[in-house]
Amino acid sequence: MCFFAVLQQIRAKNVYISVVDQQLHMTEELLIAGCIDNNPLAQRELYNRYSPKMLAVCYRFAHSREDAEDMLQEGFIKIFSQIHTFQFKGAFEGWIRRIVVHTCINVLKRNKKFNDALDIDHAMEAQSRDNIPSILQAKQVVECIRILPTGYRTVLNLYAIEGFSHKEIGEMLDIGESTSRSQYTRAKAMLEQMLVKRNILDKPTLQPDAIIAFS
Amino acid sequence: MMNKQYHDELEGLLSESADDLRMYPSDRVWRNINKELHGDKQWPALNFGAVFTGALVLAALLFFQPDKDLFTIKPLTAAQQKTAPAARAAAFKVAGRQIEPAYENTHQAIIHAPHAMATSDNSEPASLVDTSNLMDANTTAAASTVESANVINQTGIPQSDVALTTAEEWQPLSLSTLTAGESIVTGSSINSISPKEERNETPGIFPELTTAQNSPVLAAALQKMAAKKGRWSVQYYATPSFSYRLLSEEKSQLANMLTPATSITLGSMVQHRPKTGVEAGVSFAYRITENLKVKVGLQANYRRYAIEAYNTTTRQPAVLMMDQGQRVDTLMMMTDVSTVATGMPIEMSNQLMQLSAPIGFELSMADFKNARFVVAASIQPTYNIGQQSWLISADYRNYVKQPSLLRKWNINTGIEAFMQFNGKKGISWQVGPQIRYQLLPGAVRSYPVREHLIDYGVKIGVSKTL
Repeated sequence: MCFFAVLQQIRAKNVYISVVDQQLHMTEELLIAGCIDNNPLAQRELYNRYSPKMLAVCYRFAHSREDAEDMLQEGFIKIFSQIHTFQFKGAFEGWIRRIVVHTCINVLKRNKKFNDALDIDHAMEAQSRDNIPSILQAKQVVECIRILPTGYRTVLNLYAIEGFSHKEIGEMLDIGESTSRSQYTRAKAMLEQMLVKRNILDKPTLQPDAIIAFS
Repeated sequence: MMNKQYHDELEGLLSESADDLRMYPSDRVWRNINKELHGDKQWPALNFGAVFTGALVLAALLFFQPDKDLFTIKPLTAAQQKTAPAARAAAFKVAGRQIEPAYENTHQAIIHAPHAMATSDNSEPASLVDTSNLMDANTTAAASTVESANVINQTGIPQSDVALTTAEEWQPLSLSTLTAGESIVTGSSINSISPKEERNETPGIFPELTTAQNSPVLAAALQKMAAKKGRWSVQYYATPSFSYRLLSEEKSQLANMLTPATSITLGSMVQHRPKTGVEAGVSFAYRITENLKVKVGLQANYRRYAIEAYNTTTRQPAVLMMDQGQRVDTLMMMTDVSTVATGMPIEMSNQLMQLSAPIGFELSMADFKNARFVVAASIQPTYNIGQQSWLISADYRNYVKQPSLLRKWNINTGIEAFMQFNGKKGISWQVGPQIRYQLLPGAVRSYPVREHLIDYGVKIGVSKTL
């Protein structure tokens, strides 16, 4: 057998065994340990495992998919460079998610001031367009969120989805707590309209006691 | 006023929708991350090729045990240095007169003689000859020495006609002046003197000078001078070759799970035979040292190998499995070519027309009288301008054509060893074996069957020093 063929087979076999071994037996602890050791296979596996979810997170914050991928890239570089600081307290996915969210905020802060007057007109115009792809409800909801002006969208993402308090959001975005609250209220109202219009959300009904009060 | 349940419902919907969404990033993201973490190591095959080539050259070096100072021009030996002054003195001691040539300028040293003859005959002021034209007429250093020395003898002037004592002053004289001089070579140029005359003429007044052409001092100086001139050379070559392929398979665990369990292996199902191909091209080489050249060129390749298969009576579906790491894509196509004996046997070819730009080096390993033994290696970025390739299906039972899965750009590496024979006028011929290996698989990365072409050929080339 040719020398090249032998080398090729050895290489293929080693890579294959290594990949299978990693995939079958690599628990989260081993994965983290591998990443701390700067092992490329462990890093790739970690990336494969979490990148689809994290890209969706980035996508909610970003203006475009390309921007979202840039955020994801920056986020994972931070994750791999800071993974030794993970202390196995709480979920690893939560730790990753926090880094990615903070990366998104930092990227947005570089380009946008969150207490600026928001481009409401643009948002209203976008709201009236019916060009959201009807693939899945999840996708539709996320697309509706992305139509919101940057400030509204960011606060909504952080408060309603990521679970930060208004105080934390204010500190993260360098805005006042009250600003965060008001932006969230407006964002939610705008989003509700969009979701109702697309029949994703039912119209709100008045409570019985309110009906009695009006009668 | 909206109720609290409604608000909870909205936030729940948002949270749930956000959690449900999955998006798959493009390959660019991981490439950039990996590059940031580990540097740019995208071509392990290239590293392998470089290491292998280096190891081969090292092995060849050890085998042939060349001089220690392989990469330098050899200085004069002690014996040569000892004899050099004497030879120099003898060479220019003419008719009892010691002429002191500018030793470093060998042109002048040699041409003093014809100049002296010219002055003796015409009683004109002695002059030095600008020999640049003479040197241009001769392509190699050794030839230059011989020719220059012959010029002296070819004049055919009897020894008695030469009266060097009249040559009191030395002034520059151009070649045209020299050749036009009636007393030197009447009505003819230096080059017009026949070889017969060269042979019949006695050494004349400068016997030492004619033997000086063998002087290592002069030879070394002229060689050094010639070395400065012809660093560039052009080479035309062709390589008839046998093309073959190396097959392997790299499936992910997921792809293995999806493939039906079977004892059939890729190697047992395919029947391939090498076929003849050819490479031809032109390259330009630049000589860095006496033994080392770098070269770059343009080359056309025609490579192919035969596939033995069977033509089925009915078209049947064939599935190509594309391994995307975490998922497996399938591509279903209809084909009437099978690896299983279910119809008439047929022979097909996987063939490629390629353009490549070899970049490499040549290292002279051993010098002989009129020949050299050289090893060379090159890296060849390659573009497929025409390709007909059959791909084997996931179950190894069918062949299909799917050009979209074939790689347009590839990279090859070539190693060769050859004998180079020196001819006249700076032309040299070479012949020797060559191996060329395709580093990247012929198909895209997601196609799990890896096919690397390998060519075994004999390279024949002709080079000319520019």
